[in-house]
Amino acid sequence: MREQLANALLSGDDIATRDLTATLLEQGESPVGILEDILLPTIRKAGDLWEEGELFIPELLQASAALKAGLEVIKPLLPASSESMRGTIIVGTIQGDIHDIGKTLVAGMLESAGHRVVDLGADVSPQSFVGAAQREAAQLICISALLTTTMLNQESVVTERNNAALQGRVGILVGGAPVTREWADRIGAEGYAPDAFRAVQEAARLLAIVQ
Amino acid sequence: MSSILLLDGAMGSMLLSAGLETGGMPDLWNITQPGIVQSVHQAYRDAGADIITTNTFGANPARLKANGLDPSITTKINQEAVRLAREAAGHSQVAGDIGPTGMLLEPVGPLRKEDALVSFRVQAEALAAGDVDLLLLETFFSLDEALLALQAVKEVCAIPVWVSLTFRKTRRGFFTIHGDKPLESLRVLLGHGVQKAGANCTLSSADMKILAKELCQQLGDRVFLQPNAGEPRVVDRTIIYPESPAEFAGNMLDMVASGAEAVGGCCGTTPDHIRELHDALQGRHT
Ligand code: B12
Ligand SMILES: [Zn+2]
Repeated sequence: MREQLANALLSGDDIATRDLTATLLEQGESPVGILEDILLPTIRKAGDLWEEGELFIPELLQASAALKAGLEVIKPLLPASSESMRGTIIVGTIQGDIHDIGKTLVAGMLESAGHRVVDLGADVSPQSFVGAAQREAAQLICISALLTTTMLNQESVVTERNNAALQGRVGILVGGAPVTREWADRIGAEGYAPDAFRAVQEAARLLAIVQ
Repeated sequence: MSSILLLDGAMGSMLLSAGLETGGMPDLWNITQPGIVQSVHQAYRDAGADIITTNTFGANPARLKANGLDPSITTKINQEAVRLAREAAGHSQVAGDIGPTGMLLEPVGPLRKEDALVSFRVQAEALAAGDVDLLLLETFFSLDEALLALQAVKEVCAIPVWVSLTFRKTRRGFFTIHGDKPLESLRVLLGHGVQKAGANCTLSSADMKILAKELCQQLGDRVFLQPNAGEPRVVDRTIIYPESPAEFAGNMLDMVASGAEAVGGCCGTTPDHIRELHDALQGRHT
């Protein structure tokens, strides 16, 4: 049954994911167990399968929708402590860059994972990122960059955030194909994830720090 | 003289070095900086390119609109672009460039097929009204969208069409980000009557060499290849494409040895890369 749920999620079958999650709950599995032992590891695997050339954009978007369907079943049952791990997250692609496929995947995954996501779209200025974080009382800003040139602008968001005295209160998570952990460290971004699936875990880690 | 057709190299990265701001639309420069665009075309012609490509990769209504521009300038941009390329081309041919809309098609994304068709038709009509020898549909990241563009083009003109898709290298082989496989996809395109089908962008010439072998073995002279000059890196806050003209030309020559009869460059290639390749092609026979 657990394996069936994992397969349903990976194949992007939202109805089966929802139903199997409900069945497992009826059989006495704990909501936290389903989330942490089945749903999250499986969705991380989707990231690996993309790297390997097993899953592609249509499948990734479907898997994200399936995760959402499964989480809707267990969300009301999760303990309040894990509820407080959810936050408001600003997501966008950096100024000068119109690549938005990866960014949209990240926004979808974070939303599926239960966060309130404000998607600013692509070509977003550092001022808009930080302005939106203030307006929405967000705890996290996620910045995508697909061009080696625009990646450099991610640093301006960190500067802008620090100038607004939000360091320690609003975390910054960067990603996109040319972005690396080293780059994140160098510009003072608190988080980095190589794919939308690991972004969920990394976002949770950062939310724990800023709250 | 070699019978190999030499395409030109990158326009976008050349305009970036000429001062185009990151995020600026290179296509707009056909109107705002025509002199610079034309000088790039001339440099490629002087380097020996047989085919000069118009600076119109993003000049379709859907992408112009996504960039906050008025889509009604599509026709003007494309017509100016053809004029600039034609004037610079001399005896070389002119290829009218058509790129993807940049949006994901239904049901995966928001773009309706009808809207994509309209967008491609508007651009193809504008290019075909000018003096182009062929239409180059390039860097498509889904076979479905490439086929839609091809359909639209055929509806409005009878100019020869070349189509290239862009493939990523993964552990399991080469795929578009939608999962289309190279050989199968190119076969489908050739089956739809394109003159040549190929692969461009994303891959370095070193990686493209591997893909080219597989493609040329099956499809021979119907294949064209335009790789990047490597994967861009940041060195001291400037962007470097690492493959030198000599390295690039060496790899392209290997692809020609595999059977490709049309080669050129994509991102990061310069007139120097194309000249080096031109000289290497000439040297093959001596
Ligand atoms: C599709 C595409 C386009 C489309 C964009 C459509 C769209 N709506 O996004 C179009 C045709 C419009 C386009 C235009 C251009 N492109 Co382009 N494009 C691509 C392509 C083929 C795929 C990118 C993609 O969507 N990948 C799929 C997604 C899922 O992957 P991803 O974005 O990397 O996201 C994953 C991770 O990075 C991560 N992630 C992403 N964002 C974030 C954010 C956070 C916070 C986290 C944690 C994680 C994360 O999660 C995702 C996986 O789960 C790539 C080449 C390739 N095959 O990869 C080139 C590529 C990105 N493009 C490139 C270039 C150069 C351009 C142009 C400049 C070309 C030109 N001369 O005009 C323009 C730029 C326009 C602009 N100003 O932005 C280069 C970039 C090179 C570089 N490193 O600088 C590439 C690599 C091609 C190449 N030359 O090799 N492009
Ligand atoms: Zn390219």
